[in-house]
Amino acid sequence: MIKKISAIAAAAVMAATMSIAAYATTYEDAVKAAKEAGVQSNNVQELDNFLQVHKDCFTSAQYDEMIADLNNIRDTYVAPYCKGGAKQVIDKTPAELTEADKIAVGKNWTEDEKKAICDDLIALGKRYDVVVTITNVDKAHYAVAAEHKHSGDSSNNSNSSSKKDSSSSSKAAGGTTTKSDNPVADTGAEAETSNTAAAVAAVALAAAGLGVVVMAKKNRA
Amino acid sequence: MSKAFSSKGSGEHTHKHGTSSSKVLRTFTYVLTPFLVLIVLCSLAVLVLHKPYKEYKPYLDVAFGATPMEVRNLRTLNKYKDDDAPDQIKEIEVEVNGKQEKHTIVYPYYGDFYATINCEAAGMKDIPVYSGTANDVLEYGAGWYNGSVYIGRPGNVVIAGHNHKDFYNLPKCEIGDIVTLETVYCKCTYIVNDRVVFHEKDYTYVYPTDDDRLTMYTCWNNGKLGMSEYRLAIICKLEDIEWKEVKTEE
Repeated sequence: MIKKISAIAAAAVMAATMSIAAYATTYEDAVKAAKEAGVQSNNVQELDNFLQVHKDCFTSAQYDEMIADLNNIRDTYVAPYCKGGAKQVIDKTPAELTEADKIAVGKNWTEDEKKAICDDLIALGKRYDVVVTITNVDKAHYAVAAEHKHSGDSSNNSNSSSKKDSSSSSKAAGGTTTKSDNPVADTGAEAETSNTAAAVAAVALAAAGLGVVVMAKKNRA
Repeated sequence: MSKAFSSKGSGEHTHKHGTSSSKVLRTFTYVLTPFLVLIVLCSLAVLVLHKPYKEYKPYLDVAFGATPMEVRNLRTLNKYKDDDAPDQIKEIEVEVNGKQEKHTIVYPYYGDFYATINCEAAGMKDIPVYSGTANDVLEYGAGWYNGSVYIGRPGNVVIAGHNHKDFYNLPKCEIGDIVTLETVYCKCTYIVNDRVVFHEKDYTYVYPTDDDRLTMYTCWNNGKLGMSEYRLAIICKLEDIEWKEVKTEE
C-alpha cells in the first residue's frame, strides 16, 4: 500500500515538474504582468497591441525577463503606495487599482521616480532591439510607443507559429505599428498654421511699432 | 576780425552738417515709413482675422476640400514604414459562440489604411479609417487609436475623426442605427447604443472595456464645426463579426 502511494506521489511530482518545464511564457503573460503592476489600461493595451504583432520576435526567456522587470517596477514604485506599503495611500493591491487609483499613486511620484520608470522601460526595450518612446500626454498620463525592426537575430525564437510569420520576421525592413498618440485626439480643424501666423504677426507688429516710435523721435530731434 | 571769421566759419560748418544729416534722415523716413505702416496694417489684419479664420476654416475646408501637400504625399506613401516592410499577418484564436476558431488577422502599420466605416442612416458612406490618430493621419481619414483593441479583437475599438471632414455626419448617428466596420480580414456590425459628450481630458470612453464595442468620436462644438475641448462619442455595441479568408502572396 505504501509502495502504491509513493509511486502515485512520485508520478504526480514528475507530472508537475514536466508541466512546469513544458510551460513557455507567452506575450499574454507579459501583458498580464503589466496589468497587475498597476500600469494604466491604455498603456497595457498599447503593449498588448505591440506584442500581438511581434509575439514571435521574443523567446520565452525574454518574456520572463520582461515580466521580472515589470514586477520590479511594481515592487519599487507602485507597491509602496498600495495596501501594506510603507507610504500607503490606497487600500488595494497594485492589481486591484482602478484608473483613478493609478493616477493617485502616480501623483506621489517624484520627477526622479518618473524618470527612473521611463528610463527602465526604454532600457528594457533596448535589450531586445525595440525603440521605446514615452511621451507625457498630461500630468497624469503617458503614451508609450514601441518600434521593432524585424531582424534575423531577434526573431530567432522558440515559439514561432507559422512559416509565414518566420519568413516575414527574417526581413530587416519594417515600420512602427504603434506611436505615442494622445488618448483623445484633436478632431477639430488644424489650427497650428494660423496660430503660427498670428504669433509672427504679433512680433512683426511690435517690431514695426517700435520702428515707428524710433523714427518719430529721431524726426522730432 | 579773424575771430569773427573763424566763428562764422564754424557756424557754416555746423549748418552744412545739419542739412546733410536731416536729408539722409528724411530720405530714410520716406523710404521706411510706408514699409513700417504696411507691416503694421498687415499684422493688424492677421491678428484681427485670426479668430474668425480659425472659426471658419473647417467650413472653408468643407467647401474647397483643402488638402495640404504633405497629406497628399501620405496618400501614396506611408512615411511610418519602409516601402518593403513585410505584411503583418498572423493567425489568431477567437471564441465564437463558445467555440474556439482560428482566423487570420492583418495587423496594420501606423499610418496604413485599415478599414472603412458605413452608417447609412447617418449618411456616412465608406469613410476610410487609417491606423493612428496623429494630426497628419487624421487629415486624410478617420484614425484608429492604437491604445484600443485591433478591429475584430474583444474590447473597445476607438476611432477618431475630424468634425469637418470624415466625421462630419457623426452627430447624425442615432441610437439603434447600424454601423459596419470592414477590414481586409473581417466585417463587424454594430448597433449604436449611446451618445455621450465628454471632456478631452476624460479618458473613460477611450479606455479598454470588458464588453465588445466601437467608440467613434469627434470634436463637439454645440453643433458648430472646428476645435473644441469637448468630444461627441457614439458608442456602438457589437452585433456580429464575419471573418474573411485572407489571401496572401506565397
